[in-house]
Amino acid sequence: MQTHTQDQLVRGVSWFGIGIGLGAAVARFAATRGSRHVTLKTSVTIRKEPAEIYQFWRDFRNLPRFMSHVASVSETSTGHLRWRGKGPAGRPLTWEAEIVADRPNERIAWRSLEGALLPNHGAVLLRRAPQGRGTEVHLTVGFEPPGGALAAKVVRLFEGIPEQRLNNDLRRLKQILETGDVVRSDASIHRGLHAARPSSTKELSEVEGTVRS
Amino acid sequence: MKANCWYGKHDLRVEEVPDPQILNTRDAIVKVTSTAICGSDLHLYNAYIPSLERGDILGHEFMGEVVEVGSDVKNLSVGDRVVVPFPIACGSCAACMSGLWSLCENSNPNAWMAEKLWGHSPAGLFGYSHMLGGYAGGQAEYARVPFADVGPLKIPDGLTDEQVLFLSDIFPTGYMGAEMCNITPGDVIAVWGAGPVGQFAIASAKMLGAERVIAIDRFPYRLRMALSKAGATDIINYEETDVYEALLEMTGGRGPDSCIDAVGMEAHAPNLMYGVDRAKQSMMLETDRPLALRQAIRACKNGGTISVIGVYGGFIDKFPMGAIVNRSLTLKSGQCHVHRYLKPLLERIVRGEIDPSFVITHRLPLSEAPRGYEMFLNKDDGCEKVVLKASNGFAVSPSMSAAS
Repeated sequence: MQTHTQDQLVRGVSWFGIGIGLGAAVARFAATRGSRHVTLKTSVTIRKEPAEIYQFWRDFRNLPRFMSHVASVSETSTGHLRWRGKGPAGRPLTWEAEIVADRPNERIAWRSLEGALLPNHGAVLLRRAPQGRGTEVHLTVGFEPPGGALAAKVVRLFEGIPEQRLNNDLRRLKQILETGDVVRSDASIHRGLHAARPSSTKELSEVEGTVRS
Repeated sequence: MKANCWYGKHDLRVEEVPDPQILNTRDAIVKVTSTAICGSDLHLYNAYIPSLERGDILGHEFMGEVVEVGSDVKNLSVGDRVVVPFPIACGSCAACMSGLWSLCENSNPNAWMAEKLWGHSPAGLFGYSHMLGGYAGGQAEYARVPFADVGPLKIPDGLTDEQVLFLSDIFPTGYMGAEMCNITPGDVIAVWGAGPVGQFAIASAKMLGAERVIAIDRFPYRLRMALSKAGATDIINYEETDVYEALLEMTGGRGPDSCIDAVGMEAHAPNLMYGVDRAKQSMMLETDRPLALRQAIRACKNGGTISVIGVYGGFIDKFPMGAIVNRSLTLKSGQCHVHRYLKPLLERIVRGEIDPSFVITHRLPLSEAPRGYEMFLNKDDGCEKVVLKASNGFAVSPSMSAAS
């Protein structure tokens, strides 16, 4: 049983992973196992000024470009953020959030509003790295899954996956800001397993966000 | 197009695959005219590098003609003849900005996989596993080149493919191996491995002013090449001679000032398909065979430098750390930062200081790539370096097929 679960974990983090979104993975877990606050942290250093990173992030519509579990973020007429997450089996997960802290070039924090299926909050902290080494981007995301007690052992098992996904998100942010775009390889553009060889035009038409000229 | 694809240990197939297309605006598509089999490709052929997938296109030494450029590539035009460096580098991250091109922080989209194994990720490479990017390689009729505004070197008229092809990897790799020795007049340099990289390490050590360069191998034809072509002053066949004793004899008991390991090892590693953590675990239990490295450390003079350019993949056992500490040895290594050597080494070729084509022993059409690997692995027919001629003129251009 343990081995089977670990197999699934390994599959989840591997390049032929099953493509379940960050929020969805926690939600699925919470639904079956009960409630526990889960906090994920990751960071990356980007060779850009804090102001540039702040401006990019503050326009929340940019987030889906680098966050794998986010399909879209838009601002509502009330000034809130409407998030649409990528759920398992293509089921969308939507929630509204408010910006709870906004210190230009330093920190942005948000929190889901009452009624979110998976209450969550997040914060991005920008810190200038020493001696022209760019800016440290520290991202914290927390989930408060509803329900009873969650088996601590299993949480530990699963915590690695979302944190890895979050780190991959920040890497894509770094790619966008430092190179102008998300970096794509023949294999990485596919969600599932794909050999390192070019895709057919038909395969490419099913891949999001690739540039063809 | 046709491409040389990996299907498992000693199972390569040249087969029809889709033509590459532009995926980022800084890409170019290159029609490959010449490509080569690298010693490090043999690690893939022997299935010792983790995270290969069936159908992966191999090859990281290639050159050709630009047939298409992305909208942000301003320095290249269709028709340009270019050599492509094997590490993929963005040119704008902290690593690239400090000249550590093979450590580009952005070019490996599977960086997390490399982090599991090595702690941090290096750059993505062409045709060299999924943990190093999952990029199709250049043993094909066409190749997509990411960051084409940064990497490819335009080749002036009057130079043949064979004179410049090895700027893609083995010449700069050998050169960096010699450069890391900080050679000063009078230095004696010993080079383990007289394969193609070793030959260029020998030639480079001579160019950088070494007094004596000693080649160590077990194949007489390779040692002969080292003497007659690369410029080695002495040779040691380690199957016939005790290397340590011979080196001490040659250096009056001092030992070589610097030792270059151009052998590396067949890094035994399990396939990442079983998962990164498991791979890591298994790697700890596996041991590689750092025979050359141990020998180099033992022989090197007090205070000398060990320069490692052979490929190591994982963990080694019985590493003589005591010798390093107590004898003030310096260990330097790295996948070659090819970008920084392209222009200076091209200039040396143009000036006639070296003709890198001296290592070539076999020329085959791309369709015979699997035979080339077999010959290279088995050292058949005096095989030192195989160049594959990729384009036969019948291929459909990528832009034509992409339009369909």
